[in-house]
Parts: sequence; C-alpha cells; structure tokens
Amino acid sequence: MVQVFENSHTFSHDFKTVTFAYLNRYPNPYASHVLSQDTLETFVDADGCLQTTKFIIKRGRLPKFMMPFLGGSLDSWIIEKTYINPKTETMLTYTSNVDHRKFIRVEEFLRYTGNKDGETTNVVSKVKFSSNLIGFKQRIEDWSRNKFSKNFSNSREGLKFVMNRFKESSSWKQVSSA
Amino acid sequence: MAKGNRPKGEGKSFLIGVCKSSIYCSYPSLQDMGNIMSVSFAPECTEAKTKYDDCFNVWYTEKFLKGKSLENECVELWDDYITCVNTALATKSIKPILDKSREDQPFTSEEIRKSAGTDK
Repeated sequence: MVQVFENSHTFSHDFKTVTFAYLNRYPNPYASHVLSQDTLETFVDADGCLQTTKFIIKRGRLPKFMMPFLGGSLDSWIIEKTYINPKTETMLTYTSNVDHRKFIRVEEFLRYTGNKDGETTNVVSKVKFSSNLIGFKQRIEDWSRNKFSKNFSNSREGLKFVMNRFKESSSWKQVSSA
Repeated sequence: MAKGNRPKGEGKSFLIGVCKSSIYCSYPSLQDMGNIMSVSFAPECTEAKTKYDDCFNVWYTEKFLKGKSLENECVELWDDYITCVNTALATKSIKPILDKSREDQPFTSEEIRKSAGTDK
C-alpha cells in the first residue's frame, strides 16, 4: 500500500509574498540539509503561466538501513516543477526524487491559491510515498512518511521565515523609495 | 515590455540589503550573502546563478505578477547560467538521469492537476 500524507494551511501573506518565498525558500535556517538548487528551465506558456523546473540536492534524506543498496550515498536528487498562473493567483508544484526510485519515490503536490481578501494564501498538500523494493516496501514507505511528517513543520517554518524576510525588505524598500 | 525601462530606484532594492544589522534581515545580495547564499550544485556556476536569480526575482515580483510582462527579461544572464549548468550536468553524468526522470513525470500543467486530484 502506498502511503499518503495530506494537509492544508492558510498563510497570513498575500500570493506574491508566498510564491516569491516558495521560489526562493532555500537557503533558510530550517533547511541546512539542502545543498544546492538550480533552475533548469523557465518559460511563460501560451496561457500566460510561468513554468519552472528546478534541480535540488538534499543531504542524507534516505534511511540508513538502505545504505547497503545505495552504494554509500544517502543524498537525494530532486526535481521540482512549478506552474504559476498570475491571473487566478494559483501555483501548482510537483516535487519528486529522481534517483533511488526503486527504493523510494516521494511525490509532493502542492496547490497554493491567493484568497480574495488579497492578504492570505491557502495551500493544500498531498504527498505520496511508494517503494518497489520487495521485502522492504512497507518498512521504507512507513519510514519515509514518518520522516516527512517530522520535517513538515520545519519546511513550513522555513517558508514563513523567507516570507517574513521578503516582507521586511519590501517595507524597507517602501521607506527607502519614499 | 522593452528592457531597461524600469523606473529608477525601483525593483532591486529589496534584493540588495538596505538593512545591515543581521545577515537575515533582507534578501541578500551577492556581497551580503555569506553562508546563506543559494548555491548551484556546481560551485563554478554559483556566481552566474546569483546574478540570474536576482534579475528573475525583480522581473517576477515587479513585472510578471503585475501583468506587465510575459517575457522573462533576464535572457542574457540566463544564457550564461544555463550554459554553465548544462556543462556541469554533462561532466558529472547527472544529465542522463534527469532527462530520463522528465520522461515519466507529470511535467505538463494538465498532468500536474490530474495527479494532484485538484481538477475541478
């Protein structure tokens, strides 16, 4: 059975701040395991939506009991696709590991929508954990889901941190250009 | 929108630290970043990445979200950065695995919507 994690949340920031923070969420003090982030592709599509593909490397995100299968490296390579519609204030993201997939595949789907009040943004999260490794499948999926749940509040705090930093610097900007 | 018609003094100031009291107090510029700079997986590409990211962020918040521009205006910086990244991906043999992963993942918006179960 594939494990699934679901959650929803409302941020007290507008769509601009939330999406800026999402695109720039690394580095932050809650994500010291993130080693690098690169943009591989970015374009505005025919519907006027911004599509971006990123490549992220995270350190030590795989279980130690998998070490014998992984040849020593516990790092994860991550691909992230974002789709931003500025008219409807919607951002969809898809994030998944690209290596070690036989052992574990984690797929995260996020949907951010700016609220009509112009001040808050909702996010709905859905994460799937699936392993194809016979004999270890259940154990790996459970491990992965537990680890994700534990780290979930950290990723949210990291995002909030970047939002506040952005907000703070935006108000500095207003002061400085007044 | 044509390049270079950004009003003077607008746009970049939130990227370049106005406030100097803490390294986290504003989105860092290249010289202020210290250890919180977002780095490329290939160290030799980090400088080009930072220049591109700064340009992209201004375009994204000041133009794209406001409906003023549908064209990423950071093309030259992008070319420098992606050339560096592609070379490094090829050298480090990462490119094949990335290309393969793109084939079997939902990389179109329709597919993302379906997979996420967020279709109306």
